[in-house]
Amino acid sequence: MKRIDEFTRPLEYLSPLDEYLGFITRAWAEKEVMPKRRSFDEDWETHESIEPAFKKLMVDLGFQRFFFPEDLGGFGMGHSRYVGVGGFRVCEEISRADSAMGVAFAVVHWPLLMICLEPHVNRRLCEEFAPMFCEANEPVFAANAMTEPQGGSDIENMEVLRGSTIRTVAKLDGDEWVINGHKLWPTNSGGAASLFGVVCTTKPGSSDPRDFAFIFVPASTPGVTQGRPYRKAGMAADKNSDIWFENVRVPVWYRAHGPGDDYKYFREMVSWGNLLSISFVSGAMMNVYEILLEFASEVKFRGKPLKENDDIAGVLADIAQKIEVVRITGYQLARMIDRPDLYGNAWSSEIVAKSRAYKFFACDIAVEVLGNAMRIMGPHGSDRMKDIEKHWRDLKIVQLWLGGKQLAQMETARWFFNCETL
Amino acid sequence: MSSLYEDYFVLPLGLIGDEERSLGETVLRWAKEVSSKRAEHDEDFSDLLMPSMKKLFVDIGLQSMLVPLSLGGGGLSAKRAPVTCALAIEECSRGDTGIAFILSNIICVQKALLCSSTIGSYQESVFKEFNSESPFISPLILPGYGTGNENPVIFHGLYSQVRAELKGDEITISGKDVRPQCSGLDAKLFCVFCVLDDGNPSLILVQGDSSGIQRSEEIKKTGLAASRNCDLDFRDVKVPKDNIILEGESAIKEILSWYYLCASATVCGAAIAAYEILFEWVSKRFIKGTGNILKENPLVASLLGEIGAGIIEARNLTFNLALHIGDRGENSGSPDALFAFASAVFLKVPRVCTEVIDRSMELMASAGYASEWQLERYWRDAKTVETYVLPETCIEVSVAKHIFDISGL
Repeated sequence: MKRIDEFTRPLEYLSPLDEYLGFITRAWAEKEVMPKRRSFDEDWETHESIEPAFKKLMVDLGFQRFFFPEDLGGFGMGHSRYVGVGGFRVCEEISRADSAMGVAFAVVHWPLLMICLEPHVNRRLCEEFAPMFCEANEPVFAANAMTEPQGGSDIENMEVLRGSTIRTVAKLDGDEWVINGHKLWPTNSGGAASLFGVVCTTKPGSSDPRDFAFIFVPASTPGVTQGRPYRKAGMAADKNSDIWFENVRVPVWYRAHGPGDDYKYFREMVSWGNLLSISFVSGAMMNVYEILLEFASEVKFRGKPLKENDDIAGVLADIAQKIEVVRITGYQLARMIDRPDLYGNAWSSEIVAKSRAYKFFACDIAVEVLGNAMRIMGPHGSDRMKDIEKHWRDLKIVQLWLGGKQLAQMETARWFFNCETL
Repeated sequence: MSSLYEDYFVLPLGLIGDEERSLGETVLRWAKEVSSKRAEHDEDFSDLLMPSMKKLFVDIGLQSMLVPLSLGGGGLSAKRAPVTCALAIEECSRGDTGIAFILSNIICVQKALLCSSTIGSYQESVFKEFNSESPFISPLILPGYGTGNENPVIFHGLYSQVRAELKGDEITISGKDVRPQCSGLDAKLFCVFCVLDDGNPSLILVQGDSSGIQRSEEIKKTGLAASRNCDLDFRDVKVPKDNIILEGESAIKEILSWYYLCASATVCGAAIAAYEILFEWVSKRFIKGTGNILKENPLVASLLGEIGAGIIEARNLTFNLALHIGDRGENSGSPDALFAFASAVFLKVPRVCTEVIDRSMELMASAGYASEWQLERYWRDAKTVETYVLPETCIEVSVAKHIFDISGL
């Protein structure tokens, strides 16, 4: 019997920890999530049934220590040349069970990339925040507070707007930043996050990259208010809400790097966001393949198993082909991020643009695959007991975030076609 | 919400007379009322959906549209009924797509009764049930994939979900995990596609309270909250022979044609609701921090063009199908050609409409995904309709068999 491992990965470039990371994440997913995930939709607001699975993954298995240096209690992946492919594998395995959990897990680490990843480790901030994640007995979530009410994807439109539309303002007052602003939709908000990476401007309206600031704010800081989680089409394990920052004061050294560098490394976060987005859709599609394989082998059509009918087999082949290509595309991007010596820095316009292109390609394909899988299954396709429809609902938002397809198209066109006025 | 949008989307207005227009406006008022209560009640069945269904089906009277005038119903003529029903279903779907889907099933059962060679006392008694003071929900039970205990193949390789045995004047029906098209929990009557011992495909009516029908718990599904569906076990359910209301492949095809029409109108309504939500969104949002309204951006406008073209295509196919079904036997070619056309319409319309809503969600991004903006509900509902009717490949075969003279399959 074929399994998901038949889908190709670049065997010549996998993390030395790949087998270990894959094994324990898969075992966790199959035991702690897959048997329970059908009830998660009703738990979108409190996460009472979801939290225990997060605790196993993040605390008991220690995955919330993934990026921090080993001497601070972490796994030290921030120093690894395989952090891209390793992170991709872990998030893919989680997303096979529940892509919302994959997202929530990945976003714990997303703001930490700014300070934990070579070559721009901020040792002082690592030391400051490592205990929060490495010594905790409960899952600790982090979030990137980027999107604002007036701007939608403007924040992610770095190439053109360069932070000029940001209205969350950070003002220096002595040795403290004073932050005021309103953010929408961060993953792990709605009361989940203990630490925010907040995208701010030090000079409203400025498109000077030096005025772009990425500042860490513990959620317990006075003046931080998180709203109630939004109700959404899917992604129940990923809470989103409004966040308000009112005269929030943090030490001046909570800024990730400083003028110019915050802007530069935030662009790397966009590349990472695109990479991990592909891991979410790839993982979910692995599970779609498993469900389809079982369904098409069991049910009968024209007197034989569904999959033995030529017309159905044609659609199944299209689905397998697309999963295969999306997975290898994700691993290719992971390798590009892991090897700046060969491909250029992950914050370069080239890698940002290519990561955008790969991400919108993968997401478009995933949405198509899920839609076709539901069609093949007929009424069972929209039956929650079969899990396909959950993946269909969950993955749609992956296609929409980070500026959605239109911004991705513009960045891709700009880089490949030297567009200057878009 | 406005009415037909005929200034925006071309419609066969010659078919839409004062009566249809008036009915459409009444249903649209109902739809607005349902929408206005969403913020408070969301998709609550008891507080919103069932009372809304009662108002539409009973108070406004849509559940008896095809019931003959002599039996207290709307008595729509065969010629006008398809357009009127499509219009009513489309408007209904703008308020709640699940209710529109249930209405589609009710209309098809009434159509099946009207197609009976004679309207005898049994048919009359069923017709009168649709005049009752509560929703008289009557889902179809269509053929499906085989799942173990293989029943007879009934349609393009799909199996009847039940076995039916005729002995004397009584039919015994048995089947496990039978999935109706909608509302298994609330149905008063089931209309079952099956094969009798002589191999003849038939439609049999089974009262919901018949002895031997066992209902599972409610099935959780992607959308269509108004349809509280479940699987059914038929344990030697006995019904009189009179409950066979239609026999023969051509009769099955006629009812399927109607179902394709009604389900197409259902998803068209969802697409129009999405259009209204999107229209407001792209007219008020700004991009690139420059004060540009979203819809004035050329890239966004090209996507809006795709969306508009999709709605135009879907509505025109749907209403043209209504026109041809109404003209059946006069100007619309052979019954087989009409069935191929109906099948082709249903191949296209749900795909186009789900794509329209999908693209709308892409433009609205996270707002499209959040329940607050309502778009995601239509997205889930339309997709559920698309998956629920029949597997796409069977519908493709219907078209191919006619167009290419395929005798097998």
